[in-house]
Amino acid sequence: MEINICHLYPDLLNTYGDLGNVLILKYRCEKRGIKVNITNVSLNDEFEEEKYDIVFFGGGQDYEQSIVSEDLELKKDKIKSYVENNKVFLAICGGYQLLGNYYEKSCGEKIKGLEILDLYTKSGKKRFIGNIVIEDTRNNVKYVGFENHFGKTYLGDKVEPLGKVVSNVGYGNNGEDGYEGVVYKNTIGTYLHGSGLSKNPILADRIIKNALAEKYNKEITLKRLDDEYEILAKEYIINKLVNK
Amino acid sequence: MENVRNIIAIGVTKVVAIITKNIMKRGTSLPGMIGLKISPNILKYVCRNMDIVFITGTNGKTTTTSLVTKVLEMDGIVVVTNGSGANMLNGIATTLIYNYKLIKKDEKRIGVIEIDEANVRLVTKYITPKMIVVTNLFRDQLDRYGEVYTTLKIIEEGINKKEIKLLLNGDDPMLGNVDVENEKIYFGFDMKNDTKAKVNIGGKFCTICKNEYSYKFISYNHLGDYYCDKCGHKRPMIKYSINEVVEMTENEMTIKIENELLNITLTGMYNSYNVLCAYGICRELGIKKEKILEYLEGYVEIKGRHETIKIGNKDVVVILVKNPAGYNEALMTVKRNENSAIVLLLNDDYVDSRDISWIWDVDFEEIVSDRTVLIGGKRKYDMAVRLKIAGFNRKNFIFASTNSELIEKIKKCREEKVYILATYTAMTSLRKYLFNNKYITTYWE
Repeated sequence: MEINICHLYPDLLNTYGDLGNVLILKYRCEKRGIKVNITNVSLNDEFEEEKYDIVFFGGGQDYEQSIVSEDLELKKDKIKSYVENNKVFLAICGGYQLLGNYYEKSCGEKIKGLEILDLYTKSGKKRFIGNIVIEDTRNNVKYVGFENHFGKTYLGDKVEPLGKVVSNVGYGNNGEDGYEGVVYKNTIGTYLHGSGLSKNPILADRIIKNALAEKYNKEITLKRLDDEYEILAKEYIINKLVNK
Repeated sequence: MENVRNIIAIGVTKVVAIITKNIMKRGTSLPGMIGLKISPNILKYVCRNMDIVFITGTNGKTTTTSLVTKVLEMDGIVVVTNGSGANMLNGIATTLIYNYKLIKKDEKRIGVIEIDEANVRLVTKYITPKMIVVTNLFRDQLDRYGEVYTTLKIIEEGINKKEIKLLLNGDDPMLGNVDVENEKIYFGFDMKNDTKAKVNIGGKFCTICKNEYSYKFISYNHLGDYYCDKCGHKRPMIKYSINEVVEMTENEMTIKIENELLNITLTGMYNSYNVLCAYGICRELGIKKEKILEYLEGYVEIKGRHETIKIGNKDVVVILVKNPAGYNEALMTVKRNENSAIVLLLNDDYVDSRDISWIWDVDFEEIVSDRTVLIGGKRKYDMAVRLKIAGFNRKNFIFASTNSELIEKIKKCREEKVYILATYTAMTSLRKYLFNNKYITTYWE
């Protein structure tokens, strides 16, 4: 089997070690004999939706993000149809915000998003920074990561959260409703850095599995890998922040 | 009345400093904090007959401060300077008050102060330095200030008086557009190599029109002779420059500054910037070119940043790492020595950066080999995941939970040369252990 990963704007949206997610997906595929091709798609490059099985969209600093949002206008329709066609998409932090309807700055100005996911983000008063543990109740699994964002994201009716904040610290989407991240079809958005997938092998495998199932149109069973370090690293955060 | 208050503040601060230093063996911020409480004008008072230079930026503050101090002292100037453990407002206050003396006739005093980026605006409320130096701005501890652009804004806010002269790294695009009217002087490389910046670094898009910069020369990371082919924004005029890197070995380098040869016991591109920056500061303070170069040649690397320690029969080099740019440079040193073991210590306390995501921006892929890999620190398993994904074989991994365990395992590893790459608190804790067990004779803070 073979998987084609598209990394959107790796030269611009690369701030919090999110590149690690791509490295991790590649590693976990190759360990199972799945060939991986990575395509970097940046400014003025064409987004060829039919070629990719997983799209990764990371976060950046405001300055770089403003460069990206201009270029995204040209790719918008194709990214939307990619998502709507059930293909696998992972967006972190800034990428997650950009998939929504808009970002409202503190001055009230609204910056249009890609309008692919039913959500919007408002600039907050304080930055949400720190380790966080969330629980994905549908799949009965906890995810850990490090959040670092000013924007407060609010979900609409057409999408669901990725999980609920269960650590005694941590804010999640907006610090108000207790939710973190978003799920829509095979698209996942989240604020978890870390890299996000580095301590969440189950989430990484879910992404790979969904991508293969979608591409080959069949049930996929992935061989188990040795995740000893990933689990120990995850438990360190859980022990620190939960069960106290 | 004001003066009485200041004199009381000085007296109390000195007494508290002596107590905390000699009896409690810790703490550099408390005395200064008390001094400022007693008299908010105390810093202005103790600095009234002294020129002050502030050295800030992401990387290289400590080395640059140390180099400038050395040159000035050799030139007969009395220097008041602080350690990196005291680079915030209260620590700086402690240093300045504790070292305050009535000036003798004909004596020249200069304060060479390393200062944390966010603290520039706090300290310039009290004193106006003659010069503010920014070594560079890399991504570092993003969880503290949010973003590199925010850090730049915070520094700009501290430059609150027109008479403050600015000495800036001209090769850093982040500093090519500092939004203040002060006099600006730049240092950088006067060389050519026509390269492109790597994908995974920050600061390489035009700060004016957002186009990707081209470079006539890149020294490392995003530093170099940049220009934008869209709007024409380019590196400012360089006043102090390195014209050639003649040789760089494991322990020393030979470079040409303003066309004069300099051999110094520091190595790596990042250190060449520190040397150049220190040179520029000393020139601006009026020291002659030949004198500066002569004094720099006699410089011996400060403790802790890059020292060699004997542990059993191993030669152990300890390197402080705190962000991807510095880490990648340290890995280049490791790479030059294929037959070395590495020890990677990762903590996540506030000063280390609570977010450890940045290890994913470090190119560990560059040094994958069969060498022994010792892993420690609070986030050791995060480091193990990073290394596994980079391609290291986990059969070479050895974990250590305490410093004593680590030292025993270092003694047993098969390589003779060992590099320890540690984040700040991992390093201070290790040094304390080494000091208590007599592997080293000075405990650097």
